[in-house]
Amino acid sequence: MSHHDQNRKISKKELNRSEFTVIEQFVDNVYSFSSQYGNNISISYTAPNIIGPPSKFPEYGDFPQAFAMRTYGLWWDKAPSRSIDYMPQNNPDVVSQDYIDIEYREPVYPIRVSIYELYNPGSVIAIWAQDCYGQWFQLWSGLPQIVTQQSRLFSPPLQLCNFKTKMLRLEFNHSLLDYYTELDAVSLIGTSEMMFPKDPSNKRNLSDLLQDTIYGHFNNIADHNLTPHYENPQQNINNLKVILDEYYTTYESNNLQSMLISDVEQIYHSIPPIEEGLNNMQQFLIKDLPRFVNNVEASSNEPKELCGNFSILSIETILKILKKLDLKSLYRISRVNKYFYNLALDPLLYTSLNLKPYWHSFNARTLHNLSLRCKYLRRLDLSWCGNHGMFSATSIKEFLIECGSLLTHLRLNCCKNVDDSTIYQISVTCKNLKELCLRNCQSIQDKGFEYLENLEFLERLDFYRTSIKTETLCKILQKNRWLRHLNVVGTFQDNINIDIVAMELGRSCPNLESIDFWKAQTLTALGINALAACKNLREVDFSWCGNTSGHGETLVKLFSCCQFLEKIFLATFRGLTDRDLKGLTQCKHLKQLDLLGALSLTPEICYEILSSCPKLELMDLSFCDNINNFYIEKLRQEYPHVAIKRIMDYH
Amino acid sequence: MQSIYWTGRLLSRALWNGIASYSTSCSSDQQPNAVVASSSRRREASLISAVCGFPKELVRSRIRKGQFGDDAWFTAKFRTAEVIGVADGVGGWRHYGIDPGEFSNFLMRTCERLVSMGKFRPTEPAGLLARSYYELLENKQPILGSSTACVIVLNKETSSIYAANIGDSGFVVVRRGEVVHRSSEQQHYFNTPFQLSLPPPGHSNMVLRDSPESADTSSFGVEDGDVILLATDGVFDNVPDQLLVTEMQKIEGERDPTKIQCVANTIAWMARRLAFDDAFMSPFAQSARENGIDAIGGKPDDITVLLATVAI
Repeated sequence: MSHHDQNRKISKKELNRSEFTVIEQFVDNVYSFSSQYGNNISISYTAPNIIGPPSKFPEYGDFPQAFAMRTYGLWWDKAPSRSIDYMPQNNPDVVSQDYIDIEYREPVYPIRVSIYELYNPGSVIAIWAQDCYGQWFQLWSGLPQIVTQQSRLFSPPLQLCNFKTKMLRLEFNHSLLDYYTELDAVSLIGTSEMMFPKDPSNKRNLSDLLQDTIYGHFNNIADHNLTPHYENPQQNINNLKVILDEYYTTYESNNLQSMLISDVEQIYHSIPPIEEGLNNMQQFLIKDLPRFVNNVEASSNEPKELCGNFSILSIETILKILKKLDLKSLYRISRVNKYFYNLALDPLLYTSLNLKPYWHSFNARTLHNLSLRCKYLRRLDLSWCGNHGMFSATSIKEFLIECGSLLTHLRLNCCKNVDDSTIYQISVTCKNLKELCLRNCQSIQDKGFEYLENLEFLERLDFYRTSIKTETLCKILQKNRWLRHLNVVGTFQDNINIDIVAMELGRSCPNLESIDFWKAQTLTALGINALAACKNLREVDFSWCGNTSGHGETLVKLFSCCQFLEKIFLATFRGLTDRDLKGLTQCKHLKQLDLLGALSLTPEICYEILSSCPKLELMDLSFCDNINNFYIEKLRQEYPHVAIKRIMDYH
Repeated sequence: MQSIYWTGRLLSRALWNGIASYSTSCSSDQQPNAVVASSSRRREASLISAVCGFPKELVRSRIRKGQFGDDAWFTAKFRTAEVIGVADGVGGWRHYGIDPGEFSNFLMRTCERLVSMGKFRPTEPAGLLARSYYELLENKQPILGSSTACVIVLNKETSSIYAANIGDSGFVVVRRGEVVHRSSEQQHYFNTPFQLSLPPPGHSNMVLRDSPESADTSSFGVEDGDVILLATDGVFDNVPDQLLVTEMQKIEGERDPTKIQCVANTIAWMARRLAFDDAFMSPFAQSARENGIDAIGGKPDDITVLLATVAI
């Protein structure tokens, strides 16, 4: 193509230059999320804090105005209440532990997503965008990062996205965090029109280009961050507009025709000319197709021959090998030939299913398809699946009727469409259920929970952020004497009286091992006293329940009765005294201890606990005003194997 | 003279910036800390407000937006509601090493956030105070202390006011030179107002604690031109009613934020001057005499004046 020709084209596009706009917006609404540090009825540390422009950034530190989640580091994976994935081979290299779905007002073609990280940055591992049909597309994924302790504007390079989006999902992995991460805001910068490079030979997308321009300036590739210098984000956007203007143009419909005629050849020069294509087709029809047909026939006649050495192995061994495969691979091998198809259908391969990693692609059809293979299904994790219209409550119900009779473990965390009728189905079909996790299932009404009274073998119940009521819960507890783990965090305060629940636990559940009452303000000394009857308790989380005054002998009694305690969280028991904690020296198994905000504790009791609990690994002494930083340093030096946490006052 | 110059400069700067809420401070001389907040919309009621105030001890006090000494205030909007509020931290906590300003400031800042997030019912100002108080308990860093508080919500669509008051801060509404509405003072006994408090652990029995639900609530309609004064006891204890009404009368129906600011400044100055006047028979001294205490002179205190006119 002549030089003159090229010039003309650019000038033609120059005319359309002003027809796109760059839009920067902040979160308009939180659609859903998996966990939050704060309480439902509060605004401190809750998910809605991510809405709107940043309020604290670029300050660094712990702020109630931020969005924080419930976990950090590996501590929760080490606690007695940890839950283990059923089919770990399905997981990608990094497991997503939490997510938040955020909505914007104006749909755009995304160019940049910037996350305002206020405290302990580095746990964002994926960004997804949803199109107008509800389909998800991954814009970016990466590893969790260890970064310096300062606020960070994190803008990872994005995949080219060819649809408009106004719903994003952020996924988190907290395993490398030193303490809770906190987010201030998330901005979405996008264009009103789809952008194409002016120079058709430039195949790289916008993010690459941005990356080049940034790294050209700062030489900082380590964190994959397009905005390593947040001082002037506005400047960044202006730069961006300039870059867009310089290198990119919109995909105009009136432009389309001329593009098709003159440019297609140039843009897609990898497409062969039409004559070549015809020749190839002819070749395929004459030579390859008959051979392929022959092969197919041969495979159906003599399956064993085609499987090579694999068929030498006994069927048990083969199944053992196949059991190690993830679901995607199992589906793929069934396409190899009839032999493998039959192998991959074996219901014994589908006894434990973890579908959470496939939340973005699992729909009613795939669920139905799967139900044909799951005759012996025992453990099912459908968490995060089915939202945004992927499948309905009816689909889950049908699946349960088909394959639910042997289920012992069922996780339906964050499934918005699990409702009363689903719970009814569970209570009828899954009589042997031992584990039932219904975190964030907010469509279930009290009537639905009542159906669970039909179950008798439950060992683990997770009602995080559901609307279960005291009476219903107590009836369930009375029926399930084998209960070992209970989580009733974030249940709606008006619905539940934790003291009554605790007393029921003390009466009915002698095998109780872990109890999570985080931020349950109705817990008083009465409830804690009753729990002392559960001698096997290994984990108690009473954090933020300590606003009631006076603990008397309560904690002393609990610690002396429950000698197996490994994890004790007592954050914001403001009035906690040394005397209350004396009993801890008897808990030789103690591994994790949270004493955040205990105002009058002295360094002496900390020494005592540290020296008499040899297994101690974690101790949170944030806002223990009586223990100054000097002592904290000393403790850290003397007990280097214990992670002693303290929120520094950066303000 | 100099103060007028300063105020004028601050105001012109505020106007230049043309933003809804503007605040600045000058610590060295006795300059009023001035803030202009304005808004107007046709047919819907709105508040045009100005703030002025002084910390009791000008030299030692911290200067922060929304605070005068241990007093704190806020203005905020959400959809059809405009909310203004003041709080007065109880100074006695200073003896326990607790900064009384932290508590009142937290209370007001949280009200501000709750309103701008829409997490309140415009008809339940006491509920707003209650939620704000509840957030104190959700703070990792304990904020101890106690405070009086008064919050006014204007429903723009119905032109009605919903108010909640705990303690001796309060409001006065003046229409055609008459006081048409005022908050009633809530006291346990003389000079001991109702208060929201979060005592140190183990001290709950020794500290006066009133629940947010015990707030005195009222609701009434407002008319175009009404003048609302929302202030802490530093004003009401030192400036006699008649003086307040005379000043407020001057800006009935006024929509120019500068003029409202001037009157707010005057009231704050008046309160400041009378507070330090040893010979003045202040409303506080009168009240003391009624309680059998022989007293005279003003009551030096933090002063916060939030003055607003209603424009419909």
